[in-house]
Amino acid sequence: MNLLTRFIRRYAAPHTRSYLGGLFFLLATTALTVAIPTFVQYAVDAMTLHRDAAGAASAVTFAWAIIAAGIGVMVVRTLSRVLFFNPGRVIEYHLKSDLFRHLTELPRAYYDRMRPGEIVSRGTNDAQAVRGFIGFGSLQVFNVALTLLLTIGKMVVTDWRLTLWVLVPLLLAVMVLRRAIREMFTLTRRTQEELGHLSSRVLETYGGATVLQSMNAVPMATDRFEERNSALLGVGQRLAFVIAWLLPVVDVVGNACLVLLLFVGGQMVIDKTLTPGELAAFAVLIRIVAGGLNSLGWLVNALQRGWISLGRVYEVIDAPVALDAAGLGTGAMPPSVSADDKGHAVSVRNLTFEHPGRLDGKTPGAASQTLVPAEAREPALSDVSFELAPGGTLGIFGETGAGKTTLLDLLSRVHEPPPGTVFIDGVDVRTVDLKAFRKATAYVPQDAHLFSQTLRENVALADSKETRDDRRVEEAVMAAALGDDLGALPEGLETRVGERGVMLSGGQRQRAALARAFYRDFEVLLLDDVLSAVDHATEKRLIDAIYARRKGATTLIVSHRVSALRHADLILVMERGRVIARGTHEALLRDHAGPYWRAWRLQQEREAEGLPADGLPTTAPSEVPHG
Amino acid sequence: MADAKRDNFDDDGPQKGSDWSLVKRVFQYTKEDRAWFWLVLFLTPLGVAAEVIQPVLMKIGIDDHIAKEDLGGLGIVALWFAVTVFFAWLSSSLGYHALQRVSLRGLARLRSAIFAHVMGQGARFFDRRHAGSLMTRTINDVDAVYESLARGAIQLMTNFLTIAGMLVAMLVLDPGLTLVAFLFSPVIWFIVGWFRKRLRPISLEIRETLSRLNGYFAERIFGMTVVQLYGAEAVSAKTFDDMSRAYMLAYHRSNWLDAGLYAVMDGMSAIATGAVVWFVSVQFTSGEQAMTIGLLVAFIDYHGRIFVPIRELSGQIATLQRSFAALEKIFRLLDTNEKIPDGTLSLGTDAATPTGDGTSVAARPRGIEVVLRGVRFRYAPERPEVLKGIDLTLRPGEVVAVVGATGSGKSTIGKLLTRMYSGFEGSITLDGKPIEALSCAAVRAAVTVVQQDVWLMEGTLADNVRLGDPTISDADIERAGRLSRCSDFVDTLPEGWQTALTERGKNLSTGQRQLLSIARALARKAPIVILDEATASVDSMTEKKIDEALSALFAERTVLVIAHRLQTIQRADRIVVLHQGEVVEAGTHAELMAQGGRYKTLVETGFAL
Repeated sequence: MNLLTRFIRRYAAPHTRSYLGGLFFLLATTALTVAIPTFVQYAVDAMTLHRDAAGAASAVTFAWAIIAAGIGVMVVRTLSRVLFFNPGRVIEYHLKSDLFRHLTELPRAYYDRMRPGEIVSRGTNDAQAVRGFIGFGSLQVFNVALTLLLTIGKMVVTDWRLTLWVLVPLLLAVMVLRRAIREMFTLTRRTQEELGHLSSRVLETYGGATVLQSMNAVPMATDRFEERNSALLGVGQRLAFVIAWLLPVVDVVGNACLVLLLFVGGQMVIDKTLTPGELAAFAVLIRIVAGGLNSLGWLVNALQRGWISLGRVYEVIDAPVALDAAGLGTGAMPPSVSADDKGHAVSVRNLTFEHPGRLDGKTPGAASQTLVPAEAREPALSDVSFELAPGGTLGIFGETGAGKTTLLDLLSRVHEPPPGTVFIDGVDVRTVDLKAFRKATAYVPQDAHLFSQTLRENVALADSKETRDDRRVEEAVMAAALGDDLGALPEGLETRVGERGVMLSGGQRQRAALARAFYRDFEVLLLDDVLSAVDHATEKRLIDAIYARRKGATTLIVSHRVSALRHADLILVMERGRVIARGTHEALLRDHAGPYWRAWRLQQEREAEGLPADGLPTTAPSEVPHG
Repeated sequence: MADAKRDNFDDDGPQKGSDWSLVKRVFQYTKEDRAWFWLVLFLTPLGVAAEVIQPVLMKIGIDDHIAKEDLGGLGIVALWFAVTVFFAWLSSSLGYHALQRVSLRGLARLRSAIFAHVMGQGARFFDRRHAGSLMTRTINDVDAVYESLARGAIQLMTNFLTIAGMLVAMLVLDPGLTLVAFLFSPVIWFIVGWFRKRLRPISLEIRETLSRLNGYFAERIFGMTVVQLYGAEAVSAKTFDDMSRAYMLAYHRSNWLDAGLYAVMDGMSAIATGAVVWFVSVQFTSGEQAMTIGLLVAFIDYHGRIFVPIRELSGQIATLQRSFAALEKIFRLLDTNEKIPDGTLSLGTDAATPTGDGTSVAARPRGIEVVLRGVRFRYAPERPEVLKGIDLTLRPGEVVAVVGATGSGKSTIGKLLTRMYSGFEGSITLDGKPIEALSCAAVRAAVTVVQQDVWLMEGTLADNVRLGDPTISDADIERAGRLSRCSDFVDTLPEGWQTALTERGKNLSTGQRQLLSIARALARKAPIVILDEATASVDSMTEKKIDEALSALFAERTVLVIAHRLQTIQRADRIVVLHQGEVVEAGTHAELMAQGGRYKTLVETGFAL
């Protein structure tokens, strides 16, 4: 179905009555606007042509008619604008809500492909442009069309030759205006871009000001700044040129038309083919037509932009929730044995996975985090298999880029695994309903994304104020070893943690994310390197807490620290997407070789020296500038 | 430090100049374009005058020529009319163009001035400010000045002159008629004021609601994986819906006022026209013709032109005031000065030139002896002393490790040696010359740093090593890259050293960044290197590479290590133990372990720094 038809049916149709009312009042507005110069014309002609008391009396009547029309315009114009604009706002609201609701259903692969910044721009800028399209745009379409139709009609009826004299230059002016507006939007966008470039350069430079000073590199930094500063100035000046010389074109030509009117129309009056009143009316009509044509230039642009934006919004709304042919599973989650023995068997069979390409050609995930030569790229996972009994613990060990995170992403179905590779209690996870599956799992990703709300709201993320269990929140926070930190936070659990949790240190963020998992009633727990930013003592406490709280839940822990993995039933050692060794802690150490053994020995040495397992805890509060 | 690092501009000084003095001060940045500015002042009134005169010409044409059927005279008037139209366009466009030129260039200069001012400040200045808020001063506030002052001022001036000019013209044409036409003016002012007063709080509410809504949207999109994993879709959608609805409702309220204001001004010009027609007709009844058609047309034309400027005037004054707030913030920043006083002495030309065999450019620069005597220092007068009489000599070629708990003052020594801070007591000399008598550039050419948290900029890997130093050749970079083990990953890249870094080096791993930081020091010819050792954890392979890179660094430079890792500490020629701002022990690892003092405790407790 055509996009516009769909849009109008779904969003605009409910407001038909409002639009019809608006259209009615708009008609009235335009009629009155055109009537005013007509009344002026009648009044003038009554006075000049008849030159008697009766003529003067009728001129007074027309004067009152003009005043009445003026008052009428105030009322009907207000009504027409409100009746057109209000639905636009309602439509924007519904459209955004639909968009957001759909976005909550879209899989991560979609986000990787589109990139979040792009999606945000569609939900904000494009949704706004659509509103402009349906509110201001629809009003102006009728307004401009009616105004031009009635005024030009009135002019043609009065004198078609004179009309032609003034209309042709005005139409040429509109064509120039259209080009100028296009140029202006291009330059405005470029100004914004340059402003963005300059801002990030300034932020980058100020962030390293003392380093640059210590390296005697301030002159270089100044050159880099000036490069952007003058680029911004250059675009700004070009924009100023367009605004100064080209945008006023219709007004200027409108004034020039008055000259034509005076000369050509004046001759006609002298020749008695035009009345003085008609000449006076023409002077007013030219202004109205010029105004209407000016709006037309802007309107065409607003409509074009709105139409493009509508397409962009619909692209998101129409994005399929399931990205591959396997579709969405609808099956029930296999039940737990009991409340204290709730874990599931997890088995992975010959799992090979390659990240789908991004639109910009980059590969998302671990590979994009570091500079890897193109030819060295391999599938993120190759032929991974393992069996984990209900309530068992799996450790996954490996260096950066080994595919650990990808594996957890697939097991938690952040990315859907290929059908027939991941099974839960013997059932292919792809056949299980995604929401039911997620309800039973708790996955703490490496990047502990916190939202800019209170710590309490972050822990009970899925609950509203009414459904939240505050005791459970406190319990989870204590178990995640955040209890001691609460005192140091300005408002304890009610502290707003700031964008991405900037108010908290790296370690605090990790523990808050862990508390978020503890708050849930999980049957499978997946932890991705969640203890990397906590010190050794806290790490031990947290591992104990994890074992204490899981109540038989199946657990998968990713870490590059041996100490976090040593109690696991099975440890997979991964390298470049492959499992290169597997076994228990003891079994992996037995052959005195391999990365696991080397890491263990290194960490043992450190511990013997009294140093934390790998360097120092980095618990310094984030100093990410955000101003 | 992070707590103290809140944006505390407001206590920077009690400067609160008048609005006029702010404008005068920002005006100085347009000095080079003064001629253009006078052009603006000259052209704008002329342009307005040309506009104002047009209805008068219309009147003359109608009354004096058309009415008298004088075709030749009409042609002349039409010609004059055409001239004013052309001139009005030329002067208003040229005036706008000139003003834009003056203000855009002036504000670019203001940005440069702010940038230079900020970059000239000492570390104390940066300790108390976020880069983000400094950026806001440099970019956003300047932009606000542009939007409101540069654009606003000319519109305000044009509108004001237009209103005044037209009123004068109308009064000259017919005072009685003017009075009738503007009988309603006080009513207009009252109505506009009434609307604006109600609109202002709603507009503010709308702006805030929208920014909250967009913020929420963006945040949820960026964290959508977590939202989905934790089943927070419904709650999020509900919250978003509520916020979006609040935004819509606020707009519904403002729509009535907005549309009303627009329509009232629209209707007002019609009412003024009606009043004039009425006045003329009434007089006409009394027998003689008191007014001409031309006059009526001229008045109607004025009505069409004068109400838009009146409507805009009050809004523009408010916008103008907004720029004063931005200007005040900018100048307050420019009036803050925490620069490091610069000396004049240099260290002799050979300090930074190579002494090797002539082929290996950066190898073994000439040594410089650094001596600290009784150095005492505090970061701010109200804060405690961090160094309490430090004596330390750094002989050429030596590797000295400074160890101590957090707050022992070990990082401070490095900051004083690179002239990040001034105002210490005691003496610091380089080659016997007091550090404060040397120029900052000379000191920093002799003493360079390996940063703990590596600062990277947009550009290639080579750019990030070179940092604008023209004396560093490509060969120097290659060599530094080899020694620092950066080549291990750089050589695998198709574009090698010319590979561009993404946003602040996000495509580099922590270990790669650390290696790059070491390469940066090795590429420079500074004989002394302050190594602030990284604390962030890296995997064991990278750890090994870093150790090798450090060996290369230690082999060819005098290094003061602000140490965090035992491996590095053990390799130092000398270890200095700092405790609460004082040197408490010094010696080799073995000596200090044997001594069984503070050092041994530090080692045993794992440098719980």
